[in-house]
Amino acid sequence: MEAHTRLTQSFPSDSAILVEGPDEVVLTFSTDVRLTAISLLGPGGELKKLGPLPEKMDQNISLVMQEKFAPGDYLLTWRAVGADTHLVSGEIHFSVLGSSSSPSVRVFPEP
Amino acid sequence: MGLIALDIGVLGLRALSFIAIFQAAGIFIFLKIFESQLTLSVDIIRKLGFISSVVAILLTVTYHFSVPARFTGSFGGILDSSMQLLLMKSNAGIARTVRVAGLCLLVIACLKRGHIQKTVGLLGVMMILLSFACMGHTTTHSQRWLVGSLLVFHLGVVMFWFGAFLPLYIVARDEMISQAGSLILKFSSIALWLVPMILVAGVLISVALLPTFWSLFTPYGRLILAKVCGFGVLMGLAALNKWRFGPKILAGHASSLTALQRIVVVEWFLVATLLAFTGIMTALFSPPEH
Repeated sequence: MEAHTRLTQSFPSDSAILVEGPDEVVLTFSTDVRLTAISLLGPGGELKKLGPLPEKMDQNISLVMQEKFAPGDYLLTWRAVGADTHLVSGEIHFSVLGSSSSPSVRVFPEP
Repeated sequence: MGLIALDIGVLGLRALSFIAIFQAAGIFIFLKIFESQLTLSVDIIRKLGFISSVVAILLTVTYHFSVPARFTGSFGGILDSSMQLLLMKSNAGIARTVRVAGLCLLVIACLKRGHIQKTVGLLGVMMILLSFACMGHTTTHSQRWLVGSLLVFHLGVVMFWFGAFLPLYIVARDEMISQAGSLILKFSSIALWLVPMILVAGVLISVALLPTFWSLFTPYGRLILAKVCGFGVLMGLAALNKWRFGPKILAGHASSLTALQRIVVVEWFLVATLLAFTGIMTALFSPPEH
């Protein structure tokens, strides 16, 4: 039986701790989806801008960040609809340590 | 992402639309089977069928157009033509169009008595039943025709049962006691063998949808267990009607009519709650993967 759509991978992943803020947010789903809503709340409840929502259905969706990241905790919330119009949604928490000019290092939580 | 007030509102509309759809179709089925035995209550039952069908259309259409608000997480989604188009082109969009067309046929069928109206109404009920089978979890199953047929049967019997509660209340209130008693006994004798089929078909559908026994402890499995528990309580009340109140009414005990009316109201609320609960939970949870 074919199950409903689900998120299989994301960058940043949930609970990730990043040295620098990501340049883009990437969501990978088990089937093609239409991303219908996304928001990123920064430290102090500040809403950060993300690139426009794609109008086509796709399995991999990436959105370019339009603002710099300040150090702190972030909450990414999203909603997507599969071909069966079943709504899937989720939250991704991640933290940005803030930093130096060194290249971005992604620190993932231990499995 | 947790549920927000908007989700609760839209899901509430879905729940109410399920209750109204089953009520409307069920009243027509009741009239189709028992109309020839009704005298004083027939007009009011037909009027109730008409009102239920109109309410079901309004709720189904309102729910359908408000679904994109859930997609986007804001009321602005309702005005987003691309979201509305996405929904309309999907199985759910086609199914709800068929469902509303079926309800429109029920409106026509409940307007007045006649052979054509009966045929039109029956077609309406069939369209409503099929609309449930051509969307949702059954459509992606490898045995979709078998599971779909079981679902149509399961829902058809629920319609017959749930749809009969309010007409039975009216019959007990308005008809002569001997006529009411005879009709209630006839209804009970049909319900006695037909209603347990709801459980049989439901169990078979669950076996097909759930991959293992332990899936019963997932949110979707718990929904099924809750429905089985509710069904058990309802069967107890149905038995009370059949073996206690039915014969007493037939024997001319007017006080049993009042008691039966009370039981029927309780049954209506219990089944309506189960329908609403099913409507909400199936929108939020899916069966686990095989």
